[in-house]
Amino acid sequence: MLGLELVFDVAVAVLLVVLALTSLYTPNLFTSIAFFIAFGLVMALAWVRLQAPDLALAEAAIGAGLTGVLLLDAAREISGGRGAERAPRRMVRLTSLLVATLVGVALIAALLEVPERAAGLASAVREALPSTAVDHEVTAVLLDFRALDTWLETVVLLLAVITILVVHAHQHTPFIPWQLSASPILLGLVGLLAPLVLVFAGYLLWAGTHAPGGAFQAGVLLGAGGILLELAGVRTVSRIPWRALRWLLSLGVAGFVLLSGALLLVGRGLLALPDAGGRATIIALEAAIAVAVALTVVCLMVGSNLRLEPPEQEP
Amino acid sequence: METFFIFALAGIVLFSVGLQEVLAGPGLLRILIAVKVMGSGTLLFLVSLAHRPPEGPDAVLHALALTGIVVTLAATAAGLALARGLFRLRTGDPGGATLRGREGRGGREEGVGR
Repeated sequence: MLGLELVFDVAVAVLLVVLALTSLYTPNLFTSIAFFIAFGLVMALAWVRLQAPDLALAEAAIGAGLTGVLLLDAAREISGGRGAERAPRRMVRLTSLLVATLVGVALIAALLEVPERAAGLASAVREALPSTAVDHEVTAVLLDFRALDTWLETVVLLLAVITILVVHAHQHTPFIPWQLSASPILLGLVGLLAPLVLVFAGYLLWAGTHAPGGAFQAGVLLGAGGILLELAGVRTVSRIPWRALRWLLSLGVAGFVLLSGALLLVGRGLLALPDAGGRATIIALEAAIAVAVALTVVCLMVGSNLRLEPPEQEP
Repeated sequence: METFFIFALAGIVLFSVGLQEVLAGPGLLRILIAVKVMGSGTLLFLVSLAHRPPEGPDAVLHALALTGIVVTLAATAAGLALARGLFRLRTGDPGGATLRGREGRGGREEGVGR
């Protein structure tokens, strides 16, 4: 059995490298993106092999789904444009090859020094788990032990949306719907998928407290569903008034701010969750993060096509 | 050879391959894809280290990698927005005329992915 597992691991690893190489060196940009989407799918397999189901869930939605959509959406504008792609000079190519090879060899030399057995933080997490309100280790790390990091992660997501809106608002881009033919097959499929996505995202959110899943996986899945609806011409997020959307996008950050503020007011430490009601607090916080992540994901995609109110209408 | 070693090695190869293309990339989108390949390699290496015996998967590194995946998505989207903005400035097409299907300057061919 060990032999079979070894073969599978090597196959996945080789496939990853081959897909990455094909994606980077194929001359056609569209082919390149298609191979990159396949690369994301195989990455999800690699996460499964490394016993990281949380990562596999996130990668399947992000690496294989959302990233591909974002790249294709950008490629329809950039590809074929004047000076979009030019072959690098021979000297540049050789130098970069040399640098990359040297870095790779140095890293492999370092890897050979890494001990095969190591006590990480796994046992420390397992010991501290009963003191938290949840039963799943990754969720405990994300929302209890290292909640400050997760807080900053929501800030990073917000910053990305702001960047996109600033770049495109500056250019006064009107809303541009995707020119897809609304075929009955597409609409039927979306009609079937949208409720399923909603239910499964809800399940992932709820499961996060005791099994693989959680706010980010649920939010990303929900966002993917939103993008699917937008692409099919069913306007959901792009119909939300900008003033409301602003607040909804910052829901994750706001959740953390309100929670830590309340905890400081009652005299506990910053983000030191109470013992009673800790689980409900975490689920509420996760729900806020999931909604914010879902809207962020849709805005990352729709953002360049979002209608912004002209500045003079602002209060 | 153990699972951790195989995937750590794959992570290093992905990082190097991506680095080469970042240094010599032919275009903005291709460089962005190369950066993402580098990022995937880094996370693969990180999570491989979390998989070493005897204690099994390390939840702290998994949480770190999950954060990494989500942040990479945000960074990609921001990068793409900047690339599109730069492209519009370069081609003198500030309103995104290409998206509306109008013929742009310089004999642009029909975009892919429609």
